[in-house]
Amino acid sequence: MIRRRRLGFGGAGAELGAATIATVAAVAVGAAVIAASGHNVIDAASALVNGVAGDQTQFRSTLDNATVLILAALAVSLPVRAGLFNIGGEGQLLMGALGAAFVGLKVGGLPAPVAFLLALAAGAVAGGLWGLIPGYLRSLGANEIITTLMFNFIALWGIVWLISGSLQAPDAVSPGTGPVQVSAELPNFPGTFVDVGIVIALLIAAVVLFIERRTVFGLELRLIGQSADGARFAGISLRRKIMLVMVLSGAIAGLGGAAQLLAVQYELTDQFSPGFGYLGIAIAFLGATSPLGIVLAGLFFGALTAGATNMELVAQVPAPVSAMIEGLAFAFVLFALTNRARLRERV
Amino acid sequence: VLHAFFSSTTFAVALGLATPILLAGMGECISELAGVLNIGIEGTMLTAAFAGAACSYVSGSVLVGVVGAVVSAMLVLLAHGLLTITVGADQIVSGVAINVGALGGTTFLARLLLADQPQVPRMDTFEVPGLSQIPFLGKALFSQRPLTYLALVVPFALWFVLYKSQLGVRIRAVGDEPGAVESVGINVHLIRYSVLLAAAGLMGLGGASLSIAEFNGFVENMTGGVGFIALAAVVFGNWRPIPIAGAALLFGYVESLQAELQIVTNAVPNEFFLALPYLVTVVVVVAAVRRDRMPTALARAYRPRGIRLRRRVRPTQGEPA
Repeated sequence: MIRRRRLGFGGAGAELGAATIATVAAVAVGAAVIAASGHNVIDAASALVNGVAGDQTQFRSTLDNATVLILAALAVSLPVRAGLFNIGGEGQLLMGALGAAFVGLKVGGLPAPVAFLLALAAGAVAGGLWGLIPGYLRSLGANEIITTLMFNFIALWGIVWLISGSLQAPDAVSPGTGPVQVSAELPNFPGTFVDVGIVIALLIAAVVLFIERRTVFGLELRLIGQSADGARFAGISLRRKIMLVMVLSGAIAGLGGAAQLLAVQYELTDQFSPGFGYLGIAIAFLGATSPLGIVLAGLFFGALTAGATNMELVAQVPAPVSAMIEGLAFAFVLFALTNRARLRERV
Repeated sequence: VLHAFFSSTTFAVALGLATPILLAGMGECISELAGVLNIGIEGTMLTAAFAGAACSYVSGSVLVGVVGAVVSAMLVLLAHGLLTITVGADQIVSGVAINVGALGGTTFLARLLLADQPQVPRMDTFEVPGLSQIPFLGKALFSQRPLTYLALVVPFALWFVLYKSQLGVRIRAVGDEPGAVESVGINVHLIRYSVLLAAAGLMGLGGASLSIAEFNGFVENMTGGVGFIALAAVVFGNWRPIPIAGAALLFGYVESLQAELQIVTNAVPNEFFLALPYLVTVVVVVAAVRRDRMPTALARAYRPRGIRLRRRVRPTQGEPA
């Protein structure tokens, strides 16, 4: 079994510095690639920066991206405390979107706050259920890394089946549910075009921080992570805690999918997620699995993705370059942080 | 309907579809046995598929394409090795980085270099003289592309190396008890790097089989989950090469059957078949709890003990000289 991995890297300030340098290096490589491909780097860069918060719509898109990434990352970081690796965020997120879409389509008669809160709750429940199954299987001894990964694809194909069959919009040609009711859409901050999704992400980050630092459950999770046998000896029911943390984790990811659906895409299609769940895994570790670090990393990568969209529009640089920079940044930051920890250990 | 299950076309297509799964599964098998988990098979193969198509396109030679695919996969996994073996970073996060970066990078480069989706030179089928004339088997088994024949031989070769040679003992020991391996004077990191490069070669061939054998060009995200199916095959085959090959062939067959069945009937939704490899893998994982052969040190970095041992021998301060 794959157990007992290091949590975070210690020493927050220097870490943030190392992570920043690594990220800048990744962006520099990206800039070099863009330059080598014959585009004007200055134009591309200014389009990228403009795309982050140039106007309200762009700022909204930055925050929307950050919301789903932060929630997907929190879904990874919480079970890591107990030594559990949930790489099923993608599937839990898709199930969350399914739950939100299912409810969001049927809440026509209800007033707005009730409608979107119900849809969000449905997303959390659906995601939680998708986390519970691997959690239960883990309590039987089945490796959660494998089962959560497999459940991503089971969710994906199950959803494709539903949205091209019984849940497909009547007049649709391609698989898709059709847009949810307007009352189920996430509202904007008063007087702006920016939706409140980010509030959900920050709220959940605070809740996760509270659970980890201030509750008995958080202590138990850490105990399990450090020594499963010790925790059992201390009278903690491993089965129950494992299932509970997996349900919570799935629900957090599910909320991410629901927020993305109710604020950005409004409809569930087979193109819903470009891999939010997997990005969440990397962001959880770049944020050193601390909720605060995750919020920062999520905002950064949310901004990068939003900026890249604008860069494609304005400077004609294909947007997938942002995913390439993200991959490089993940690798570089991973290198910088782990190498620091390794060298320090050796002294 | 029954015809679809057993037609020679279904089997022939199944072998073609199984080839990348099989090659990548073999690569992942040896790498995991040596303790290095690579969740980035998908990204590795995608890079190889792109490099294969690009090299084949530029040079006009399939062989150059295959070499390009293998070399690119090796570069990707060398980076994975640097991160996870030398530095000791988390293997899953590194794998995710590979998948994200490779999807972005290949899509970006393909839109620039292969924008009009050119047809590139690809491997022809090779009809085994004589054997390809056998009524049923000839079409199903002996009219394949060279990489498929290779893929069918590799599992047996790996089985021999892993279970009948000293090298195999070392590889498996490095994945189970790296500390014990080092204590008898063998360099754990050297073995892990070598195995990772061999794995990269196999995954590179798998990527090449997608873009310059089974198809003649690169398509964005053309792996479409093949890497994850290969990962499932490794678990399904319980980390043993020949059962993994069986799993890969089974998954290829299911995929091929799904396409054939879709033409004649829609009694079973094709999404069910597409999800089937993952479903059966979960079932197998649950059923085989405590009997699995997952390497003990899988996904755990190994830090050579050499330095620490020497330090411990050194007399501490204040001790009489």
